[in-house]
Amino acid sequence: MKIPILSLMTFAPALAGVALSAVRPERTGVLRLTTLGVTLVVLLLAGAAYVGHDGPLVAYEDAAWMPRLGIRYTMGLDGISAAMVLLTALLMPLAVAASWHQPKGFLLALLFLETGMIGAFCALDLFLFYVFWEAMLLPMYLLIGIWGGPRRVTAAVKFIVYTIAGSVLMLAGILYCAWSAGTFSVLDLQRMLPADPRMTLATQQALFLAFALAFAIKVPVVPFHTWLPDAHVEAPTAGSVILAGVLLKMGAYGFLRFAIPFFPDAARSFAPALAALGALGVVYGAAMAMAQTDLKKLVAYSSVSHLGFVMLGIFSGTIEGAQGGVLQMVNHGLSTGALFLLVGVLYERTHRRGVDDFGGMARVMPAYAAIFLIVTLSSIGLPGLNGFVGEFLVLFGSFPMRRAATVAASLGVVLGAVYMLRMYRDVFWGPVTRPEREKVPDVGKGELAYLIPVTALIVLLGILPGLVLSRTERAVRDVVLKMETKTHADAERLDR
Amino acid sequence: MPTLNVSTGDLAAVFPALALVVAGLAAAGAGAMLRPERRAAGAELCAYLGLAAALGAVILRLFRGGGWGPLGGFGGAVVLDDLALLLSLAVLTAAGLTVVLASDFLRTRPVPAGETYALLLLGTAGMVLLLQSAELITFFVSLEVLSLAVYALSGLLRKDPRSNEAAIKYFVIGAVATGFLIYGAALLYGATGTLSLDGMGDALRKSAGTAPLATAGLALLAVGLCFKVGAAPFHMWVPDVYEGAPTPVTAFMSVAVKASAFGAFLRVLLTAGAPERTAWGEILVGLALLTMVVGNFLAVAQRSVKRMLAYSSVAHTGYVLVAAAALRTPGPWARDAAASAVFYLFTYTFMTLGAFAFLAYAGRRGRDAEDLDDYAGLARRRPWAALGMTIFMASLAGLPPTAGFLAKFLVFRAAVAAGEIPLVLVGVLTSAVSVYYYLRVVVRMYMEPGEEAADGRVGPERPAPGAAWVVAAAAFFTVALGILPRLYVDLAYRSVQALAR
Repeated sequence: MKIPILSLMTFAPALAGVALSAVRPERTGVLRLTTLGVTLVVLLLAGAAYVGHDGPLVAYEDAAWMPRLGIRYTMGLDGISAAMVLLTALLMPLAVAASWHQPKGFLLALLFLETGMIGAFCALDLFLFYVFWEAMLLPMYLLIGIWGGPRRVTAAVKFIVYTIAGSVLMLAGILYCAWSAGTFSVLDLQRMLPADPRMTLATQQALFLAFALAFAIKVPVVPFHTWLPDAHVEAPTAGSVILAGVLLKMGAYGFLRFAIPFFPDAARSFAPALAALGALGVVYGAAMAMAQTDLKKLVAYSSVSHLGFVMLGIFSGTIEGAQGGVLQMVNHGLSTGALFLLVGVLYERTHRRGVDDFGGMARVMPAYAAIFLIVTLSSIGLPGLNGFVGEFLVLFGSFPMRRAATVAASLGVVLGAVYMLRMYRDVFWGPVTRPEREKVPDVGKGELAYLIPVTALIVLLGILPGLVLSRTERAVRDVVLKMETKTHADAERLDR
Repeated sequence: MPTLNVSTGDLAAVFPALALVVAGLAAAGAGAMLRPERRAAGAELCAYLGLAAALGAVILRLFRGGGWGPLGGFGGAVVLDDLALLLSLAVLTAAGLTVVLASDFLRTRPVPAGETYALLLLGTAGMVLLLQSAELITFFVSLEVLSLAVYALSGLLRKDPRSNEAAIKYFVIGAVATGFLIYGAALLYGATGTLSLDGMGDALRKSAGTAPLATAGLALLAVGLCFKVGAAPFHMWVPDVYEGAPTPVTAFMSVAVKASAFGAFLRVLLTAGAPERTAWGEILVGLALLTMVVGNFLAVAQRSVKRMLAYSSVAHTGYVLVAAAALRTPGPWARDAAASAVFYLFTYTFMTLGAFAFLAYAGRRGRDAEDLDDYAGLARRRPWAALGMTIFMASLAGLPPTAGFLAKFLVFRAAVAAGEIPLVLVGVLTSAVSVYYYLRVVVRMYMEPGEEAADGRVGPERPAPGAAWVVAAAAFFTVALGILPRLYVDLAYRSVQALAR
């Protein structure tokens, strides 16, 4: 019998969560170690899946669920989802480690969140996908709303109302697709919908927009981003890490897996506009980040900027650009995840996050400053670190097709360097501006245990981006060809 | 003058209702004749026995498979088919859970147990019979039996002005609804010359073109039923009555009355009303739109959780009406629409009963937790019950993986298939609005600090073990029906197989 590895890694966290709910809250040792253990097991499984599944999109696990409704339990991976699952599985133990002193409920919420996220990346049935997609929301909502900062309730409500407003329209779209094709199977829909003669361009466009709004809010594409800074600022460290690292990727993933393959003609017609919105996000996010003095807010707006690159890449119309976009998804997860972890370390020690609250910290916390520098440089896109390859590929790929957007986005690269370096200078260099900061301890062993792996990955992917690119190439090519070509000859031209 | 011949077949067809009536009378007797300290327990025992007998009969028949066809009785006045059985299951479950809630309630309130359980059981008998009604007299009589019982139940707290007001309001408005119903029934009889629902359908099918009288009759019947299920614009009584009635009664009427009245509604539409689809279809579309919008938007403005749940009940009536409106398109999808309505009513039973049980459970200082402020910090004091309430709220809001999501999903799926795209769009958008007010309860419980009780104790001051059990059971079913709904979805389809064409 084949081991249902996808179901295992999806449901292991939730099952552990159910089991742990019976453990008394005071028994912190059991709670923490089990949570960490489960996320590490999931990481192992995800690693195995990543190595094993680089083929085309295939249903690896399939069972009847609600046969009368044509709804099945179908799970499968291709290169893109395998990369996203691995990213999720990587960030989870880090998030757990960063939440070491949080109470029981916090850890349980993280576990349920992991089930939702991995399930959403693996689901190959639209209904199943939607269930996981929505199931992610409640744990994140609780994470922000219960354990977040002073304005947590507002942020949590804003987060959930925005995302649900988007996803209910997607639900209507899902119902329409399933009805017209008679199936919820993603694989069948990818095949049937584009070939369906009843799907006129106008219908396709309406449905594309119904899906796209949900994904655009999640990415978030400017101007649907306003929930994000609030959510990030108020969320606890682990919440910010997962939000930036994984949840935002869910939007881009949705475009790649559903919106584009289902409605390629509509995607083609909207691609220039979406690429332009991506470029706008790059510049706007960077400009907003320049104006921030709160470290978390700065990183949050830098996310808007970086995800603009992802959008530009996906809708660049070239395989190189889309590959860059996907790589940028992984990069952003690592770099921004690391930035939030680092800001969390500083906040835990000083309960301050303002750029002005610090100065000369490099002398006080040398190891911390060194790690922070690497992550900052990767976020800027310094060659040799992960961010460079992604940004370069996006710009390189989009230039021939989306010239103006590319030029605008390049400006964003410069702005990115400005605000990140200025932030680094103000926090770490110069004399120590506040005497009480002299005593702040440097990172300890526990923190290094999660900061070193993520920094190592940042360096590793900078040197060997092929670790991701080789896996995702086939899947990305399929998506891009669906959107951009009508004829076989075109396909070959692009394939070249 | 025909003699009254009652065969065993007739009795078998009404066995569940009969068991409930007998038990109801026994409960009343126990309340009057036992020694005072034994009255409550005796009446409660009668209630459980009666419900168990009825439930046993229903389940036995339901799970005997398709081999047992529908059982008619009393010359076709009643029919015991899968639709009646399945919704009776919902009604009886609701009644059973209400008895559990009521036992808490009766311990602390000056209300005689005997008559409470008697009214509850007789009302339930009316509901079960209403679901079985195959002709208009039975339909009307059973509807009045259930209504009278529920009027009286909502005025149980005789000394409480709110309870009195609720009873009177409910009664007066119910009387108006009765007027519409009986007038509609008379017109239908005049148009078709028969009282049998099936017979009316046949007559209308034959006399195509001469049906304005029948259309008016159906419309009036629909208006009467819309009063009963609380569809806008006939919903004005809902918040006041729900708020004023004792919480267990509110729970009972919000789910059981709705399930039985909607079940009868579906039967009328699908049998007598089938030839008139286009006429009532238009009306139902309008009512569904209005009900979803009114229910959801007015719920946002409520400070009292009980009133919020009342408006939420209006909103959910709107979603069931979407399914009913989708029935106007004949064809293979009609069965989807009817089955989705049945599924919706069943899941609604658990999530709403659970929410009201939580209201009773979380109460302090001798009253139920009706105000939003009562919920502040509850999650810390009562983590498990708060989790249950979170499940109910998520389910009512339609978030997966709960039953409420699947129910909405099925309704919208059927409506998309029937081409009712505007209804679906309004449905999903109002659902998004509903997330806001349902989750406000969750926000209060989890995200705001609560004041501790003056004496330093935490948690509810009056023990409510029954309510705790109801919360747990309802939460279990709310999740289970969301994740593994297969059996029940199949039953829902089977229940409408013969009717929806």
